[in-house]
Amino acid sequence: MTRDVRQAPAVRYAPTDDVDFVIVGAGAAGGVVARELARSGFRVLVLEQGPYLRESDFKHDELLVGEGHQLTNIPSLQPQTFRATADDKATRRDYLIYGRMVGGGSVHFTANYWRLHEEDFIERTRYGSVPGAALEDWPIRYAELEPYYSRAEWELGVSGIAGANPFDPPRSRPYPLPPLPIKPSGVLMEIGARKLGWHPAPAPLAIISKSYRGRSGCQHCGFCESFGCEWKAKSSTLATMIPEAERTGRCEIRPNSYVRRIQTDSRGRVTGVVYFDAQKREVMQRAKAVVVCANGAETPRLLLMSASNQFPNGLANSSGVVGKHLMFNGGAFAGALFEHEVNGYKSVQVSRYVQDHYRLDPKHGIVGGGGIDMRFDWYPISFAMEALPTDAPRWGADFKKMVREYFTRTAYALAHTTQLPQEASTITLDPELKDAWGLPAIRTTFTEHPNDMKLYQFFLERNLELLNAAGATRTWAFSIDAPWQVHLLGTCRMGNDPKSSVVDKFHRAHDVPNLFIVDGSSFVTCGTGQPTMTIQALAFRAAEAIAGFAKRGEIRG
Amino acid sequence: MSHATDPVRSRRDFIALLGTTASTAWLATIWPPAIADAREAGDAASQGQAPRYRALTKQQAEDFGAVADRIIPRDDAPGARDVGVVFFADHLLATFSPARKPEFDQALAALNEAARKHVPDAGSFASLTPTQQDETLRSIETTDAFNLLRSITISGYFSHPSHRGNRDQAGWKAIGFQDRMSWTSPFGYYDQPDVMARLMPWRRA
Ligand SMILES: Cc1cc2nc3c(=O)[nH]c(=O)nc-3n(C[C@H](O)[C@H](O)[C@H](O)COP(=O)(O)OP(=O)(O)OC[C@H]3O[C@@H](n4cnc5c(N)ncnc54)[C@H](O)[C@@H]3O)c2cc1C
Ligand code: SF4
Repeated sequence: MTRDVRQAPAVRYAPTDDVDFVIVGAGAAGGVVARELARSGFRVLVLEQGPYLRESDFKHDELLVGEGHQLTNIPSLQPQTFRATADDKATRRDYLIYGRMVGGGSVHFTANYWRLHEEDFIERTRYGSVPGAALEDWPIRYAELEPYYSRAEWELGVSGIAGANPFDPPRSRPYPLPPLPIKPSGVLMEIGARKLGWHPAPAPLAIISKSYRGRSGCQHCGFCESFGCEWKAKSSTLATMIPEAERTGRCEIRPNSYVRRIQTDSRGRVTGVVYFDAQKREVMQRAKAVVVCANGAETPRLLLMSASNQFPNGLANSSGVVGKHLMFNGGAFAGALFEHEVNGYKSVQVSRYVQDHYRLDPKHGIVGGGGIDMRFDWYPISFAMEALPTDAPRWGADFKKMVREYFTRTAYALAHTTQLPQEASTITLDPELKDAWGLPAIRTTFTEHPNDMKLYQFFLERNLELLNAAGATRTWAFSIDAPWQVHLLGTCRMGNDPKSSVVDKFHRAHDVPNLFIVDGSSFVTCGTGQPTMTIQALAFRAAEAIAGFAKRGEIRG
Repeated sequence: MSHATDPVRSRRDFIALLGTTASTAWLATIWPPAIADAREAGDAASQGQAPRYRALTKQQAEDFGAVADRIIPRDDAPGARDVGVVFFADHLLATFSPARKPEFDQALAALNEAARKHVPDAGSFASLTPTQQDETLRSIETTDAFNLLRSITISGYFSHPSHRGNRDQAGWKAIGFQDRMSWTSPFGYYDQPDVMARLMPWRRA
């Protein structure tokens, strides 16, 4: 027997049940949409390709989450290819990482939870036309999203101090929870940043600092980024929205269900989806409407895989922009050694951040900007493998000595930045490589805009400046040519014009009245840093709009 | 769906993980042999039996052990072989990364070739003196072969002990790392109240 609240009477739908909504993907956005639509009285079925793991499945085991891909996409099952430009032949490379489980990326993410700022929504107006970039304003403004940012903070549980960051946009409510304790790296950050005249503030985190809505506060175990929280203190949708959705008695979460196609009828309306169940059998599930929340890589892939006679370029793709404008947020990374114990391996990764360079002064001639935090996101294996200065010994007695000296005394500065949207940066279907189900693999085509590289260099210099000002005894830079690809954004952008965007401002596909798309793919520009708070605020807003359409009979068209 | 009632809070090892139904079902889909092996490894390790390798030949075990000990040699903390990285490598290649075995075989072959280039009558890398071994490694230290051996050595020295390396958490102790379910502030030197009062006078203001 179990006392887990998730064991509440589970509703089970049959494939022939015409449920009100099928949601594809139980991630950061999907979990929110599921809970909101189920609470509004609709019958909701969530199909998630990954497993339904419990807190008891989470281990402090670097190999299990790394080599074992326990919480993320599994390259041996879903391999990918990559090419820098459309002129190159793509080769096998697992370029993108995302959470593949109930809860999606909200389970293993670092939980840095930043709002976008007002100007992030109007960069086209701000900068005009930038050569080579497909810069556009969003069809919504910060003020329209603000109530949903606040809702996300309160419904999910976010820790921080309103007003501590002077660059924060206006807010209607304070944070529901006080910030987590300052870490040694946070103290060093405050010292360094203040010396430079910057404005360090407690980092807002989707982690609860104290008990909140039946969950216990963070216990500072340190296995946070890349791991699932055994204490349910990280406000993943697995720990928050999903059990609440299930408790309505109207929402079924169906794991190990890999959607391969969205089905349409002769009128161009969605009738349901076809998915592979755990035994790789194909099942047709009927639905009155479908909400795709499969993330910035899998959502465009699914639309492209759903091409038909009626939609030859892929579903909802009359504009041709499905899969285009892929963005990740860029960044720069530097490390430093300090005299005394920093012990970054304890507690959450980040406790302080700065946004003094959120939008660079025009005198730099660089579009966009970024934020910087100080952190430690290594574990023993990854630290010894790659955290030391690039010119450090890599093996032998000196190597071992250095790992032993440095592990408890290092801290790192990480900047997250703008990346410009470009038409040539895409997710497409690989013409040759197939996954373990015989479906076309993801092919990523990506090269940074020259502006992005200038931005990374700018931030690399700020990182080093910060670490030195904090009193480092030694600092070192990491290459800016190797950014990470974990924020998957922009590939089904929203807009008012059906010719240049995939969904409207309420996330309804321009081409298909009963198809909605809500996840990182909706972003028009990638913003300046951490996307997930905006993904989830959009999800609250979209769910409210979708529920309204359904209640007014405005979905089937 | 049934699952363990409570997160494992204390003895968090791989075998316990495999004992929970949810994980077992899931793991079986991607790491089929992992389950039986982990049980067997746990039994053998706890009874201190003589090594029985599943993926490595005896010669491979010797060569890899010799390399690993040059990558992480013994100082006042144990060396790679002391903490079981050879068993780790065997476990890794027999269970969750069998696909890397051919790569591993090639890496050891490249290593022995480099050894013979350096000392023409060398039987194998393991038979060289430590100095000759270091010289051999310097000649291949930028190759993929060396990087693979390095990465397996480091993983075995620092991984969760349930994977048969990092015996007695010796690798973790060597760097001052501890695996715990909870910590309380202060976490290090700089966040102690008196230190903060001194370094961050503005906090009092
Ligand atoms: C190591 C790491 C650290 C991160 N840290 C931060 C951070 O600090 N702050 C931040 O803002 N962001 C962070 N992120 C990014 C964050 O995880 C993502 O932005 C977020 O999870 C994206 O939300 P989403 O709803 O768009 O998609 P996801 O959360 O990825 O959810 C999509 C879900 O859909 C499922 N799915 C996909 N295709 C199908 C299909 N065909 N059928 C069925 N199911 C499908 C997937 O398995 C997944 O569960 C981090 C990411 C990583 C990897
Ligand atoms: S550091 Fe806190 S929030 Fe993160 S996993 Fe550990 S207990 Fe959970």
